Amino acid sequence: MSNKQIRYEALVRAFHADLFRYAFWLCHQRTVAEDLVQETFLRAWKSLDSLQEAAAAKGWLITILRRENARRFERKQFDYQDVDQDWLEDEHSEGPEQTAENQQLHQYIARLAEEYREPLVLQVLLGMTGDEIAQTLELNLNTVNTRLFRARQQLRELLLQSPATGASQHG
Amino acid sequence: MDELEFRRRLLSNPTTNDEAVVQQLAADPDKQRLQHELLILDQQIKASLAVPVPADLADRLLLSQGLLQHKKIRQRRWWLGMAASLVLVAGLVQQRDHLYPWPDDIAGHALAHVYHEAKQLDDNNSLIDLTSVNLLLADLGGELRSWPGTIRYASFCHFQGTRSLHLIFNTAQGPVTVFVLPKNHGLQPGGDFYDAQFHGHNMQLAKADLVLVAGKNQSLSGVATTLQQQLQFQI
Repeated sequence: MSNKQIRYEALVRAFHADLFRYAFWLCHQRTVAEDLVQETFLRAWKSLDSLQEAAAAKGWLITILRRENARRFERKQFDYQDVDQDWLEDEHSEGPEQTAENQQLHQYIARLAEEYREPLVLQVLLGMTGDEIAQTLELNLNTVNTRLFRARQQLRELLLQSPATGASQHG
Repeated sequence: MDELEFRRRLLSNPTTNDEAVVQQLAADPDKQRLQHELLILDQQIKASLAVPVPADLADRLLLSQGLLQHKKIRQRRWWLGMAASLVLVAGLVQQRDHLYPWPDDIAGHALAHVYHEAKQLDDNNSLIDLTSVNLLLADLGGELRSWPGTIRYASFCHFQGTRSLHLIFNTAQGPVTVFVLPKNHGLQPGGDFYDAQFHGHNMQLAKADLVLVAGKNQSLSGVATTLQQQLQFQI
């Protein structure tokens, strides 16, 4: 195996799960998420030489994936933002270990506006800093922080109103 | 920093190292409680975001990169393929008397494909792991449970419109080509066959037909026996 291939394999093994989950929260469909990850890694392979530092890999891959997602919208005019109950329930059947609280939260996260959800996914799931998120989403840090604040605030409000989780958090 | 700004900073990052936030936290148990609540919320958010990832995703990603590479190499060698095809046509025209029967039989197609991919028979360097082979085989409902030697080539090809799998196994005597054809191929099955360079053997399994081809001096029986034992199809 060439060095490039070894590097590539390490990249796939390290980041495919994060990228798949990030893609899922972008498009809400597992098959589309898989296609996006597939396209992303193929593009990454073609321009692997341009990735100089391992530390930058995550942001680099996310940027490629976001571009692929934008291309998908150019190709097809499907509106995946139009979230309905089907996929939410589908998703739950695959995670039997998820508690009722998590399922509820999962739905609330799905209902957040994209602009609030995306930085939250990058921060909580992918462990990116405010600066990294700002760079990836091409926003200034202040805007990113405001969106993160609003995302958590909205989730807290929704959870407080919900009978299932309100009790366990505050009872 | 007022109360609102404190909340804004803490809610935008509950694990913040922001000095002003840290100071206020240290001085106020209520604020500590809020932080604690937010940290729990983050744990829950993380668990909710972590949707299940397809178990074989990484392997499939690596496989598609491998196939892309392969395609590129093949594109670069298009002229070689073209030349091989011309030689093949010339050869077949010359030898059609030896090919029994031609052209609607499996033997003719198998030999045509072997000649077409002749380059692969000389390429000792590429190896494909069993998992990748099985990813392709799975499309035909098959699985190779294990294989004693190495495998150098696996790719789909068409037998008169039927999608078939073209495999090349390495053996001590040299490469052996195996075609896996789903049962609906509509080509006439034959017995053993040969031409000036190669000889072949047909195997009919319950769920698929196999065609084995190797150089004239090579034996096919070892590969045939192993395939019989290791290649399984879903019922």
